[in-house]
Amino acid sequence: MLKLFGALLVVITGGFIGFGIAEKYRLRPLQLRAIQSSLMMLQTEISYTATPLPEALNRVAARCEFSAKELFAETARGLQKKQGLTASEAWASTLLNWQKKTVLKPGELSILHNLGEVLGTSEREEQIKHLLLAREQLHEEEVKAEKDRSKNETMWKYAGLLISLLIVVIIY
Amino acid sequence: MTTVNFRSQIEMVRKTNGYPTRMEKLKQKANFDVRITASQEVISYLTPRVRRLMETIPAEELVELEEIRMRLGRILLLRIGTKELGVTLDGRLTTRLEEGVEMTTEDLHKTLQIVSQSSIYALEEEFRNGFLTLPGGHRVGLVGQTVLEKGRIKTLKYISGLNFRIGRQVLGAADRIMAYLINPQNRSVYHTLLISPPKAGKTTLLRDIIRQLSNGIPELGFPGVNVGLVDERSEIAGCYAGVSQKEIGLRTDVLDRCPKAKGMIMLLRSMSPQVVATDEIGRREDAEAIEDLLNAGVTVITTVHGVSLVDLRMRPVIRDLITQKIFERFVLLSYARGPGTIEAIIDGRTERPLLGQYVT
Repeated sequence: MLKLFGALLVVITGGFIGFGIAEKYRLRPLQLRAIQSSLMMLQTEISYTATPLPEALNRVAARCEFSAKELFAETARGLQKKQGLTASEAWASTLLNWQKKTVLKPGELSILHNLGEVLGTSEREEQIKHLLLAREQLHEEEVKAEKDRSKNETMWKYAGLLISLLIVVIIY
Repeated sequence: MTTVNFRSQIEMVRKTNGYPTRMEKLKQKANFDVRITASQEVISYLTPRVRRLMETIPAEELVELEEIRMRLGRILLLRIGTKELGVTLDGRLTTRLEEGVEMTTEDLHKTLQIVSQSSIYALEEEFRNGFLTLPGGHRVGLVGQTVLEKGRIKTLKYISGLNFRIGRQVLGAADRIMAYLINPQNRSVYHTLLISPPKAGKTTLLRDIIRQLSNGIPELGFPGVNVGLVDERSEIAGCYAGVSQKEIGLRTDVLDRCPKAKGMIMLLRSMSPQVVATDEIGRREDAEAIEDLLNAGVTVITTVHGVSLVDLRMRPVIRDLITQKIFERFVLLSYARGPGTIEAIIDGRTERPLLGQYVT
């Protein structure tokens, strides 16, 4: 009886781990896409209406997808606190907290970090160039992430379950 | 701290006139508080390093703070009243400038970021003009390398100097002179020229005249008139995002950052003002615009840099305005007893002093 219970536990845990990994593969391209579209919104705010950054970030946060929302809202809050933070400092410290809640890889985060360094520091055309560059790089990452997803998502969904079943069979 | 506050208030009261009334004392107290708040407002825009230094300086020493100058590779300079002081690394004011803290690229860069809310791209016009206005109506002047495009200034880069000018409103600055500017018979306002050397409170006085004319002055039975203000350098109304940050009266229309001559005509056509005010005239087209206003029966109140009528007679455009006897009142300001010292008020037609002494 105890043995059966143990086996069940192994299968369930294995299944969960597998699903977890699969979920990461599924979310990565989605999050990358969400960030790209929010950066697109930020670019529009900067290029067409030259909205000051705190307000522009708030507007983006209000419209963008949930996964990217906090990055923008939190940076705007940092700037509006009037404690002498520059945009790059506010962005960098927000990024540190935000990255824990995402499935992005270090390479992708460093694209965002680099963007933050120049955010708001130059005139319009240059800001647009920086945003375009960041979006292009993120797009490349997204293509890669999408490939990974199609390769691995389904496999991991079942792999966790199957491996744990195998373990059960061997030990049982 | 309170004793110092009290003492400097008394000093300020004494400075302005012999025996202050209770009302005047209260006004001085209010102005004193406003002055401290204004300094603190501006300090909050400095890079944290400099801000911390400035915050260790006792507030009452910064009451008269007028300018904060940050120049790349040189020391931070504060202009307090007539003195120019440095700030030491442990946050003391010093007259020995070699002890002062030096400004780094980082200091300037970060301050610029904070001042612009990290939105340099939103300030293209401001960079072209070389200054920007902060909430509260304070101004930041900028210098650096200009970038030209087709012969016009496109923007500034490599900012190498920032100058914070703290804008303070002195409510009641014009109290003593208002009676001289209004014709007692028909309650019309005289064409007035304020003559003043730099820093003697010309803009402050003009602002208060505008406010009082616009709100009306019950003591003089003056009902208040529509005032049009052309604020070319955003100094009088201190507009931030188009909204005036100073009290300029309830019947005042402001054309912010508008060239003076064009603005005066625009106001004349659009807002039917009884009084048009502007700062620092001196160009040929300003004089032409003033003539247009006179023809339309509009009163002109304006200012000019100078120390005396003799001095002004040597300058082409102003000379013509004086010899044509366009202005009915000249108000001469000086720095003799602190900013805003009124030396004399002169009748423009007879050139006789109505207040104070005037030697021609």
